[in-house]
Amino acid sequence: MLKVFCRCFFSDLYVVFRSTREWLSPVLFFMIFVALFGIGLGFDGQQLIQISPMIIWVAFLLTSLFTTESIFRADLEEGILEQLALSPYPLWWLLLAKSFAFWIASSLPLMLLMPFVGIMMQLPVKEIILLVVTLFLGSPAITMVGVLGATLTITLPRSGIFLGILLLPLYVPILILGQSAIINLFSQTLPLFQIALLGAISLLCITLIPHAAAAALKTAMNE
Amino acid sequence: MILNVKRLACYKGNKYLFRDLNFSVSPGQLLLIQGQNGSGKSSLLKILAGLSVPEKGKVYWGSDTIWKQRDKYCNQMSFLGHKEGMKRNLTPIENIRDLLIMAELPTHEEKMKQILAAVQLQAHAHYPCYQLSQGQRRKVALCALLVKQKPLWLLDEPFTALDKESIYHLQQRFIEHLRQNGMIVIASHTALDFIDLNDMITIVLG
Repeated sequence: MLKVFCRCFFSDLYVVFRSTREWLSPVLFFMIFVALFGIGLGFDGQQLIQISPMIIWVAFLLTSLFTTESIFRADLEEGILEQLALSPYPLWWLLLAKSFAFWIASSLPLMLLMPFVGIMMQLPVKEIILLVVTLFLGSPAITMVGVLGATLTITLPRSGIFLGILLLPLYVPILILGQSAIINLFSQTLPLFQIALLGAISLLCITLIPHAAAAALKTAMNE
Repeated sequence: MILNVKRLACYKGNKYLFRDLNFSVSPGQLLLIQGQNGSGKSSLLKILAGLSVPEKGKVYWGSDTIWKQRDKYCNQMSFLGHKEGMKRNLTPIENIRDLLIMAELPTHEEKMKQILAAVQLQAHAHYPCYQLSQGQRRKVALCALLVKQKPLWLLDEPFTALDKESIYHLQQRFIEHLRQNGMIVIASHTALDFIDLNDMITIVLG
């Protein structure tokens, strides 16, 4: 079981990191998106510090939305999904491995970038750390919801906007928790409640969504 | 184990592609599914693989349906559809290794190289698949099938885009597989003249 998990995981990582375009363009998109706000609002002043955590959160959500569409696109075209579905191993287990690889490839680079983005947006160190922590705990949920959306829309050609309509509302709870964590920090209290809840949402998504995604994929294959 | 199909029907695009289809494939036999484009060859193959659910009818593997014993059935079957199931950014060796591990099989690098060499792909074994032509990618997929050595093979147009030597070589391997009591189901619109007629069943759809 573990061997096939690792194989699925590493082979997906190889695929992503062998083509620079695939992992680098979301990172650049994220940087530019945040920088645009910085330029528009002027890089100085209290205003920027107040809202930049939110800008970073929204930029993070949009970047993951754009990458979501491509999670299974290549696998579908190359016939990998058929082979996954025909493996004697349970499909949800293989999808979990793929989601984990996707999370590493899409979310982790953005989080590693956070110190630089934070400095660019003139955030204090404490806030940058909190941003990284909340993103780290919230991003698994974002990835998993994205996986579910991608499997549900896999048979639609050019599902981009539709995927947005489907997924953005689902991101709202995560966004609210991330925002209220930052606001708590402004009022000098440690936002333990929000952090715990973000972690709980992610755990719930990691345990349940692979099963739902596997079912969605099997239905899509039936077409 | 016998693959047995009873009263199978497939409904697509407001009409029945086929209805009341009955046949069985025993060890050592090859089933050739023929028919025009759009007659339901690929759909039938997908149903046999368990990828899609038929409108009516049952597919038995031994005494039970394939849906009841999915894991066991998947363990004894290889499917090669229109798409090769090869990742573009991985090398043929890596691709075959992935498929072997997913099929719960050990990975012998030597054996993989041997089989790749038999279809003139040894030079490409360590280059990513996007550098290969379509025919070469198909050959890699067929090599994976040969390395896996599952009893039942379900193949959709296995010889498209292949050169003559490779087709000949693969045909010999197919005959060998049948001799070892394997089963092959091929969907194709060209006739297969290399198989002994006693070992071959043909159904024509449409």
